[in-house]
Amino acid sequence: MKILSLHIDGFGRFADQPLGRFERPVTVFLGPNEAGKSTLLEFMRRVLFGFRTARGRAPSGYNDYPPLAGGGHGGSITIISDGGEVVNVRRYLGGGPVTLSAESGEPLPDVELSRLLGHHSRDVFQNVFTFTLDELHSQKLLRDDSVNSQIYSAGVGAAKLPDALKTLNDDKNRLFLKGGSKHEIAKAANDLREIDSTLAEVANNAAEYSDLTSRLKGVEEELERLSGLRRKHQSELDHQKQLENAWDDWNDLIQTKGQLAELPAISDFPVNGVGRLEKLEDRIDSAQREYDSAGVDVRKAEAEAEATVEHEAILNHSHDIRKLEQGRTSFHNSVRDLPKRKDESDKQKTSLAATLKDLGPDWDEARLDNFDLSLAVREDISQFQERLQEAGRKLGDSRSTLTRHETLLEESTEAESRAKRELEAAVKPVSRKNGSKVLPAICVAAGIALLAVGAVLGGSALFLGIAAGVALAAVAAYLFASGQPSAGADMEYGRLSRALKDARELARQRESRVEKCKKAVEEAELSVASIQREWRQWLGDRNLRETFLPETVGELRGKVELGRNQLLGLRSHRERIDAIQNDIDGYIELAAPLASGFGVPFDGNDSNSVAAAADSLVEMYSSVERRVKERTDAREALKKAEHQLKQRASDLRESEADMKGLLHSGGAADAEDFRKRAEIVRQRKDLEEKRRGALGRLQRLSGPGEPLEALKKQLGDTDIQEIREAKRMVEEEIESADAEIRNRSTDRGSILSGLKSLIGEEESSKWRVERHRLLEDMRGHAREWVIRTIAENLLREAQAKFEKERQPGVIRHAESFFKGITGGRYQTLFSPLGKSEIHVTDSSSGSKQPSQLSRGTREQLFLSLRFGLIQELGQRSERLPVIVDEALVNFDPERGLRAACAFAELSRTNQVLVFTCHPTIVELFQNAAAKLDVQEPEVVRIG
Amino acid sequence: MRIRFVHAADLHLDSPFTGLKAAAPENVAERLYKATFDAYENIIDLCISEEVDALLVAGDVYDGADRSLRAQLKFVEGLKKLGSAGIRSFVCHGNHDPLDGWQARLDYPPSCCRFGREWEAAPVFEDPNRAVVHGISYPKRDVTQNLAHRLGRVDPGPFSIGLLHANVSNDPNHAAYAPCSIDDLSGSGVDYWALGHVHTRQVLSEREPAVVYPGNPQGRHPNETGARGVDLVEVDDGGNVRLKFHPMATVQWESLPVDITPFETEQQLLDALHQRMQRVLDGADGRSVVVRMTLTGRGELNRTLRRPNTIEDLVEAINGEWAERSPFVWCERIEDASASPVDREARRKGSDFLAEALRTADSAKTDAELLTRLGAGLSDLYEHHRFRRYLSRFAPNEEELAALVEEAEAMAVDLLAEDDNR
Repeated sequence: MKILSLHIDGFGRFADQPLGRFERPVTVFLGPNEAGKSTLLEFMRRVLFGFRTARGRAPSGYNDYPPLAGGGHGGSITIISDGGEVVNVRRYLGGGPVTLSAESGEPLPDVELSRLLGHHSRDVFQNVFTFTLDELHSQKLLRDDSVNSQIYSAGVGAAKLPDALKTLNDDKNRLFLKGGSKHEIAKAANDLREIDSTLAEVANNAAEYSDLTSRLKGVEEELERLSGLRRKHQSELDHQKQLENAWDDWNDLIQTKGQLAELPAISDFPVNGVGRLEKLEDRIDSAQREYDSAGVDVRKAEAEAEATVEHEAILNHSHDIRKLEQGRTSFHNSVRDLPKRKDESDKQKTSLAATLKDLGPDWDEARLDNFDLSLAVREDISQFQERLQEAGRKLGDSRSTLTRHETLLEESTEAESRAKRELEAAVKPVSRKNGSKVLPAICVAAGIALLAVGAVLGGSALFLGIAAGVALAAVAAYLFASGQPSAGADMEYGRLSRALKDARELARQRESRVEKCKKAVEEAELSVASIQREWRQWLGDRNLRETFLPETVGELRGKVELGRNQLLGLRSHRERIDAIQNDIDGYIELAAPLASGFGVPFDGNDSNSVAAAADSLVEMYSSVERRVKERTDAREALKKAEHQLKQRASDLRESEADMKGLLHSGGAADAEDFRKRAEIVRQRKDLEEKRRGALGRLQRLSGPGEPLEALKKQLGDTDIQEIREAKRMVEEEIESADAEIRNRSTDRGSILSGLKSLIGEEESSKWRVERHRLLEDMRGHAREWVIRTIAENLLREAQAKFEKERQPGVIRHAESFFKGITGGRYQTLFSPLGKSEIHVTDSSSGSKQPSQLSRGTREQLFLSLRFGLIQELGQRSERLPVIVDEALVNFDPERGLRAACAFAELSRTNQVLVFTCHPTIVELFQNAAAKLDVQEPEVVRIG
Repeated sequence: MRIRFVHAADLHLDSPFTGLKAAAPENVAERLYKATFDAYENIIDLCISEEVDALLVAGDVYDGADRSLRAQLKFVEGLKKLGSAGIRSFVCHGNHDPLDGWQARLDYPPSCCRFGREWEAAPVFEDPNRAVVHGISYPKRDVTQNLAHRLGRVDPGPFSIGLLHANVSNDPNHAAYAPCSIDDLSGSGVDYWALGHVHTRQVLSEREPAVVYPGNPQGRHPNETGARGVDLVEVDDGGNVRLKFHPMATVQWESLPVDITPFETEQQLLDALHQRMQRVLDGADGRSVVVRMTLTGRGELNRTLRRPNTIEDLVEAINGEWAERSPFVWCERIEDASASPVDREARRKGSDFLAEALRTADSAKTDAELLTRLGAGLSDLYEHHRFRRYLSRFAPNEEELAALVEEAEAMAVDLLAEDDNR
């Protein structure tokens, strides 16, 4: 692909700026500093590969190149592909996607810009095809992945080679490391050595087996011999022990025989003679003691049976004595209570006297007894009281009515008189005049008086007073008015006459009523007098004063009732005192003769003395009664004791007879003799028992019959010292045999255990399995190690060959350029397989890395690498223009020329655009073109 | 019935199980330690319960090199038991228990006939015309002569049995001790050749004469798989032989290849392994089984399997389920012979480094010098003064080295290709 022309619409200092066409292989843009060379370079990069969008993070120092002189930010580039397609590429910042069109302006929607750009990325274009002096110097080229993979062996399957080799080596060292001691094979070998040593021991054990078997046989034979010997000794020991055990019994046998011979023989001695003797002696003792005791009882009973009792005669007064005893408490209470009762009687007597005095001088106990206090009397009093009150009330009412009517009559009389006078005055005005003034005044005065009376009396009287006062006032007013001179004197006269007549009529009626009232008063007075007479009569009948009112009589009756009760209480007390006194006297009378009869001190006047005497008599009676009973009992006991005495005497005789019989049967004269004989019998018996026991034990040791006799003979022929000595010697023999047996047994045990461990050597089976497993393990490790060693060898073999034969094309091309540019100073370029490193080989000093080169040479190296890349990439895709900005300024003239020649050479396949401010650079390219016989560069001046 | 006998061989009593990688759990270990003895006891029990006339043991009763007293004592104990039951026993010794090897001084019961360094004939019954056993023991380990040939013609009267430890027809899987041919055996006039040495049962000839290897009664190695036991031989009055195989082993070996290709996850693989274990148990006829699994095939799972401890975890998971049962199935190891899903042929045609490595490996097949370079440094291990006693025998020869290169190549590919598929 070549760039034919540019049209900068607006970018940095350029606006609406056309450039081109660039027809030649090399175009040099010459311009001073600030002319816009870098701007042009950047314009081409951005139109072809795009502006950085806002999303993409701009690198530091990134310049937007805003259109300072106007125009749209962007422009177009016309390119021609390797295949001859001419395409206008138009791109603006923020102007949407790139547009492609034909030169005619016709859009080319089917053309893919990426293809025209060789499918290279912006970074590859920037780093490989377009570069400034700074970029040339930078190692950024080598760090770019896409570039890196082109330069180095990435993509040829060797990226993991160093890791693979390291892994293999690590694994190998883990499995086996020459000179190492901790690897797996060494560990397995150690384990194997241990097991081999164990197994070697086991193998030795097997060799021991036969030896042990024959030793076992010898030991077992020896054991058999020793066991036989020991059995023999044991038998001898048993014999000696038998003799030793028999020795005491043998001694007993001999001794008892001698002792028995010394004791007399007593035949038919009673069995358990001494026991029986002692029992009989006890029986006789006991019978004697009982006989003696019975005699004492008889004598005691005889004395008691004949005893005399003082005052025995008192038993004949048992009735009186019982009365004394029963009355004793009552007498005591009577004596104590009598003074209290008398005192109470005196107090009641005083109260009665006071009541009688209250009632009056004519009252005494007899009248109290006789006074009628019945309910009928109280009813009478009550009736009289009510009747008198009723009659009195009626009389009062009648009198009051009379008085009122007499007053009314007086008023009517007065009114008649006044009417009469007024009439008269009408006939005689003057006189009437005078008179007329007085009457009204009276009427007014009477009215006021009536009113006042009514007010004082209250109730209906007030009402009547008010009515009467008003009437009088009206009359007075009339009277006063009528007294006035009138035009109609006749009329006045008539009226006055009628008034007089009315007054007279009223007065008549009132007189009649007064009369009636007077009669009623009289009747009431008569009634009162009649009742009072009856009352007086009633009083007189009861010998009471006639002046007594019924209320008084009621009060009197209460007093009489009180006095009557006091009187009755007094009489009751008197009777009680008399009864008490009688009791006391009776008791004294009962006690007195008994006291004197039985010599008991007695003072009838002293109640204490009487009481003491009574107590003594009762006690005396009880005592006499008890003693008499005792004497009776004693007489009964005497009879029984006498009988008992006879019985005991009989028992005693019987026991004494038995004793005599026993002594006789034992051939003894008395008890002492009997006991001596009994002792001899016992001794003989013991000795015989001892002898029998010893003989029995000997027989048990030997067996009956001949062996026993043989044993006895042997015992008879020896003594205990001899036996013990023989026993000791045999024991020593046995001990020695036992020790020997123990030793042999130990030997046998160890042999057997050895054999057992040999026979049961299961462990060895396990060890063998384990040995095989370890061997297998070790071989497995060895095999793993071998595989890894071979793998490592294989990879190294392949690596050497690959590095030698198949260095990447980039390196080969670069090597050629570098060699040319440096004039053969550096012969080869070299990238170790699997490593991102470049080595250059100096013709004299060997391999160097870029950092070890001078700046100029390093720039030449990177320039060469770019050429190599451009060549390599160009073989597979579009050949893009190479755009370089002041790349050669650090080169010396010779290398500069050679570099320019390299560009010229390159321009045969790739368009070359050079930006420079140095005319010498232009010359370099011109010279190079001439030298290589290629088309002379086109020089475009800018700025 | 002319005679009934049990034909056993290669008891290898108390000889350890070989090839075990993992330490067995206790219950398994106990059984393994005792397995050869248990099998022998089963043989004794079979003889007694079947009331046979004799037991024939055709060599390699025990491994003399192990010097296991226990093995010899147990052997004699079993023979005594047979003697008590009225059963005779005939024993010859082979390369593992030759007469000049270590032997404890043991008293063999009178009922037992041990053959010596020369052919001998021993009647089975009181009547010598009924049946005779001809036998010979190895005087030393390495007997390379044709012992069968030395027998010559036997008396044709009684039923004759030849008891011999030998490699007939040069079985390449076994050491060529006392080599002979079927013709050598046929020409002797022996009616039944009771052979030992080959551990897998083989009936080389069924009649006239019958030539039989009963195999060892207890497999002791991962390669000795399947049921193992003895032959109960019945010979009728007409001299016709009838064989019946009786499994005697208490533990049996099985080898299980498992293709990982169909499985995407470890769990799927584990489930499949459990299923295989169940099948093994079902097919073991009540015996316990020691299993060696080999993962084969090519798949993504290979990457998982190559992670540290993955295989060990699988073994543990399987044994956790099966090894503690009775009878048990114990997975002794899982060998990972699977490969990553790299298309080797496609890769080797590429231009990258991996292709170079593959091509280098291929070159080693024909380039002896390159093969030697690839094997450089191996002697550091195999000739190491401390380890050579254990390992020198196993130093790979050229052929083995070539095979190892393939494994090394697979490992290298895995290491290099890891990123490609991540």
